[in-house]
Amino acid sequence: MVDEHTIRNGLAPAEQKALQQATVSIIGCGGLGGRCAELLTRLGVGSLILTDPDIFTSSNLNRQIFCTPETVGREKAAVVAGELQKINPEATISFHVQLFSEVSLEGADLVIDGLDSVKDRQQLAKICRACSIPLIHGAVKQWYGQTGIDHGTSPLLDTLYPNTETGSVPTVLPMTVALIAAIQAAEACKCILQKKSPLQNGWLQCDLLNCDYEYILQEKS
Amino acid sequence: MQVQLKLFAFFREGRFIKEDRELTEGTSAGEVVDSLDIDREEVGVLMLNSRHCDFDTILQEGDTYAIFPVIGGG
Repeated sequence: MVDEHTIRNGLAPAEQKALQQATVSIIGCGGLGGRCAELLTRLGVGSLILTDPDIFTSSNLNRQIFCTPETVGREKAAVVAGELQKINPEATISFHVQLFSEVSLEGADLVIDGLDSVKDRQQLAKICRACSIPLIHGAVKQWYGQTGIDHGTSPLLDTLYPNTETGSVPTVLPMTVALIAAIQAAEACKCILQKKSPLQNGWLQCDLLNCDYEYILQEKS
Repeated sequence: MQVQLKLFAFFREGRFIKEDRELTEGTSAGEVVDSLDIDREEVGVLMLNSRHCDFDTILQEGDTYAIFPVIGGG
């Protein structure tokens, strides 16, 4: 990315270089994943790996940034890759139209959780821990969201999802998606820049309806 | 005995965010969930005084008990 594209970030040249040299794997390219991918590309992250087996449907229009009437019916990962490349032609964007696996994480410095099922999240967390790659979790329902970082010494998803039951298809408001995805992107930035974050040891519980945001410390097991 | 209850996310809807409740001695964490008409299957995390607990944990005078739902969308 040319300097002018990221100069307004106000980051130190060494920090911007670290972002340019980083690789982030986005698992799920819908609400959270698509929005987070867009932010990370604008931030100047040099390489992204996108994974999603699905196509855009009309029910995605309320919250998925790259879903438009024109992209309904097209593969999410391919559409998002194309749009990111327009934002930053210098970025290296690869994509997989398939369920995630170890292949989706090859070369990644960190992983963004853009999934929408408990079972898949538990599986992704296992793979990330086995590969020693931090997983930046986000999840949403209606006005409410949560986000935090799962890693070897703080297996957050084991805490948040003690069971595999997924229940009904969650209803999601676009503002909640944008907020949680923005926090995930900020956490990704801090991970790459090796800045400490409370979300490495706990999670943030967000309630947009009551304007209530509470940090919960993850108790060591 | 008095216990402070804290609810999170959609568990607050039609209930409360934070409330002090008078409970009988020996009340369990699960019994409080049931008394609030919360489906146990929807519960993700239970915390008593900022430490994890389970449905069988017995509450004590002065405890702060927080109940979090599973949030799974993306």
